Amino acid sequence: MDVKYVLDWGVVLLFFLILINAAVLLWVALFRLEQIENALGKSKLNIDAKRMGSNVGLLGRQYRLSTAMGALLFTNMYVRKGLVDPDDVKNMPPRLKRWVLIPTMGGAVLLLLSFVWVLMTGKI
Amino acid sequence: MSQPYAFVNDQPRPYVHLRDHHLALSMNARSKLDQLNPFLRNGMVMPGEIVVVSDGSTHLCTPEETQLMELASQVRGAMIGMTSHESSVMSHNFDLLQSFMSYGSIGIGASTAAWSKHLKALEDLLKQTEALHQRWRAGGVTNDRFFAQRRALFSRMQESLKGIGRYGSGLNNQGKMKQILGISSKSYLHTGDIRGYASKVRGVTTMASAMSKGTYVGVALDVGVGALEIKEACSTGREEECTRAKYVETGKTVGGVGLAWFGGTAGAAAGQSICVGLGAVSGGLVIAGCALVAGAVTAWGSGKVGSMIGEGTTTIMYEAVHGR
Repeated sequence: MDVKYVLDWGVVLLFFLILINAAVLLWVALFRLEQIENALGKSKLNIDAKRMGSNVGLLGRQYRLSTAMGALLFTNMYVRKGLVDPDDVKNMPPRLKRWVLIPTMGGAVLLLLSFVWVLMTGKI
Repeated sequence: MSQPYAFVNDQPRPYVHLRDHHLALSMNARSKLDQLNPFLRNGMVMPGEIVVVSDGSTHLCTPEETQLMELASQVRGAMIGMTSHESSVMSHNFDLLQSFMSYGSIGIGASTAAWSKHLKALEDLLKQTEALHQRWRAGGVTNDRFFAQRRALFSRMQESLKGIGRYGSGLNNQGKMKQILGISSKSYLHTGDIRGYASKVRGVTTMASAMSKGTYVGVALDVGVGALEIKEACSTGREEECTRAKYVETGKTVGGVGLAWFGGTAGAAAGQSICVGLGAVSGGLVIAGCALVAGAVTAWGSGKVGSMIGEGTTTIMYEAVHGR
């Protein structure tokens, strides 16, 4: 199996994984966001995100999801700054955390692999 | 019969100079140019403005010419209020802006939607201030109450304009609120000039909401550009090129939008976290600003990479299905 073959079919796999990941993220923004925000409670970060991102369509949801994403990825830092209540994050149902963290980490890996593919094929 | 065409003017120049020297048209064509560019006839042609040219001698406009005139008029309308420098920057960086529009706007859009809410709140405060001044002017409130209420409104406004909160508002945050708004109780009685600020903020609110809608426009543009490429390949090339274009252009658009959507969301999250880490914990506004910058940049970069991935994938699939 030569390198070209791996690069060729690797990118096809990458492409479909990117689409699946984007679809999952979209689904979370549309159907799981309220549950995630409710679980994050009345933290300042959450209230601000809801105030600024409500009633502005899908893009507002994208903004609110990105806020929740940051709070769940860097919980300790947000807790230290008083923007998130540690109990809210601790008591959050694990399945809700997974809905945010898996597509985020997965997407980051896919983005990194995409970048590597672009570099290896000399497109940039 | 020759086809009309249009070009984007790249530097400010008098219309007459453009017509007589730059384009060096014949006498017949000059009067036709005047007819096709009624908005440009009497002055300077600014960078970014569209000039429609046709060497047809008839005074009747063809449908193509009418279409180009409409386009020129739309562009001119969109440029009202731009300075010469701004329009020059726009026309020289059009390619970059266009690509940023299609992918970066997926990141920008999320934050501008939030930003327009902030500007709307600022606009409400300005309107309340104006209404208070009017009530005071009409004798509806005593001096004591007027000054107390105005102080309260000014302190809320000052809070909103802190740090990056002023961006897009057209107001600075230096000095006292009265100076920022450019009013004094005395001058207000004569001019009522706070009205100008309210309309300015309204304009910015419209712009911010247009930017958030710009995401959809950007995606539509991207899909449209892909469709045009396919149409061109199918009308001028062989069937093989047409089929190939269908695969590749679809892949580029889908890959670009898909990865830009993730990049914009993750970038906005990263931007917010970086600002929180650096100590920007004063509230939603600063955090939204960080999301705006980081989200736009990462969405743009990811969109570009996604587009290449889409192109690579569909090329391989085309070759596998149809042979090399």
